[in-house]
Amino acid sequence: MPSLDAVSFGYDGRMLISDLHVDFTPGNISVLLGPSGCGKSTLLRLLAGLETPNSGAVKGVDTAPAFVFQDAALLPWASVEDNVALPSRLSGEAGALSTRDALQAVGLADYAKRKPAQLSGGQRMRVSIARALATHTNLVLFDEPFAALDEILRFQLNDLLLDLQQHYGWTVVFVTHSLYEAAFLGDRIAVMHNGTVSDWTEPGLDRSLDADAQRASAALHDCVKTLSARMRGRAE
Amino acid sequence: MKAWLPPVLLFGCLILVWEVSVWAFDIPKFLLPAPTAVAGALWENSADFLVAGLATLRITLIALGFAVLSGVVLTLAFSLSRFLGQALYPIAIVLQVTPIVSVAPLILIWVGIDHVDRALVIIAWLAAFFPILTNLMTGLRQVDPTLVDLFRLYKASRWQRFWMLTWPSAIPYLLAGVKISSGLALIGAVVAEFVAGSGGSTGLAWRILEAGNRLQVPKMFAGLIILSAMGVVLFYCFSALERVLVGRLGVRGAVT
Ligand SMILES: Nc1ncnc2c1ncn2[C@@H]1O[C@H](COP(=O)(O)OP(=O)(O)OP(=O)(O)O)[C@@H](O)[C@H]1O
Ligand SMILES: [Mg+2]
Repeated sequence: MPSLDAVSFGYDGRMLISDLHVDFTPGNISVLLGPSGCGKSTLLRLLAGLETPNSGAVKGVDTAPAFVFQDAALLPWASVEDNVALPSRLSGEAGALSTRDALQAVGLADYAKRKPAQLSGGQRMRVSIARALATHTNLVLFDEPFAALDEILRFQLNDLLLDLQQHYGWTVVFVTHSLYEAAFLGDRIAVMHNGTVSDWTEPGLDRSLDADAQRASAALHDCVKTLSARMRGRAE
Repeated sequence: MKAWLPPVLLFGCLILVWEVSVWAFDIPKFLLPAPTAVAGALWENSADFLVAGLATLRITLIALGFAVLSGVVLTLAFSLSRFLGQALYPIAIVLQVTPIVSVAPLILIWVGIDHVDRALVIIAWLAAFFPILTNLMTGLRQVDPTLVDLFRLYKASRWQRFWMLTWPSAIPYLLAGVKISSGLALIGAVVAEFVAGSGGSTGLAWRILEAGNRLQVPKMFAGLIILSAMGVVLFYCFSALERVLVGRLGVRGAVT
């Protein structure tokens, strides 16, 4: 189980996180909410091994996870397929899916030869997700990936993400500022504040319903209400 | 209105005014020749100018080639070894800030006595190579930090990181540098020819100098026109090259 065990960390001597314990349930989507600057990105970077804890340890992360950033983070000079193949090419470990299957899964099979500049913002984000699919890992970290997209696109990509996560049994840690996105995607949601992570809330949506019905469900709205109260309570 | 129309119109008007003024005020030919006289000189000496222009162009392009080569090699060396960078960069700056005209005679003495061409190339290279060096060094620092994270995440080797990330990120900057340097290489070549004087040099600058000595002012003007035309053509060729390559790479051009 990916977890932070008594992790402390700060930039330039300013402590941001101290003695933090968090577990991320395998096969679940764990969503982190929290005010800007509270350390959400930092937590993901610690999980990914991009930052090293000052004390404590990151456990249960054996291979480099996939990381989906807010901008799609594609090499502009490389084709879509080369971008998707990058992690396995760099690490030398074959990905969970082949490049072709990964592109197929995000609906971009016909775009393999294009350059990122020839895609729309939403398509670039799909490529970034395909790259995660083609990475040799089961743990996928998302850092506000859809924040810059319009709402319809965001819904589409949320649906896609949910599908892929269920199909491939990903363990997902998802950072967002949107309460609705959190409530829709999250199996469990926590609010981060001042370097601490709250208890988890479980919206318990009925996943057998279709996506729109889930979005309209009372469970989702209850969850948003709870989260909103928590966010405000904590932020004051 | 087409973008080229205003400058062409203005240019045409200026030439007309110039022509008319020369006739109206009866200005002597050795002070300011009329455009028609310049055109005449251009036509009469066209064969001569062609040979001379090609000679200057040759020096310019060879020097530019060496500038690119040395710029790339030096930048690679700098980025591989901090020590080298710290040791060599000040020297590069000294070379840059020292006026090329003042160094040219020395180089001609050292190298030019037996091989004028080599001396010309060295001088033009000195004029051209610095923008390529600085542009490339800037370019190597313009790597998207998120992409750096991505490469770190998957344990990319130093080598992979350089060739697959840092170097391609710097290419637009290299191309922008080459565009600037093409003009500087031409200036360097001309300066070198001027300083070399008649010592076996056969380029355009020398033709202009020679015409000046004989007070053939229309011919001087004609030579000048060819020089500016060469500069403009070089600039536009390398701008076009930059656009095409940057487009093909799928990256945004360098902001310099
Ligand atoms: N490389 C760095 N060097 C120094 N300080 C940093 C660095 N990265 C982040 N910080 C600081 O650490 C704190 C937490 O940053 P972090 O990016 O984790 O916040 P966040 O919760 O992701 O915020 P946001 O919601 O705005 O993305 C901030 O105060 C930030 O200024
Ligand atoms: Mg962040």
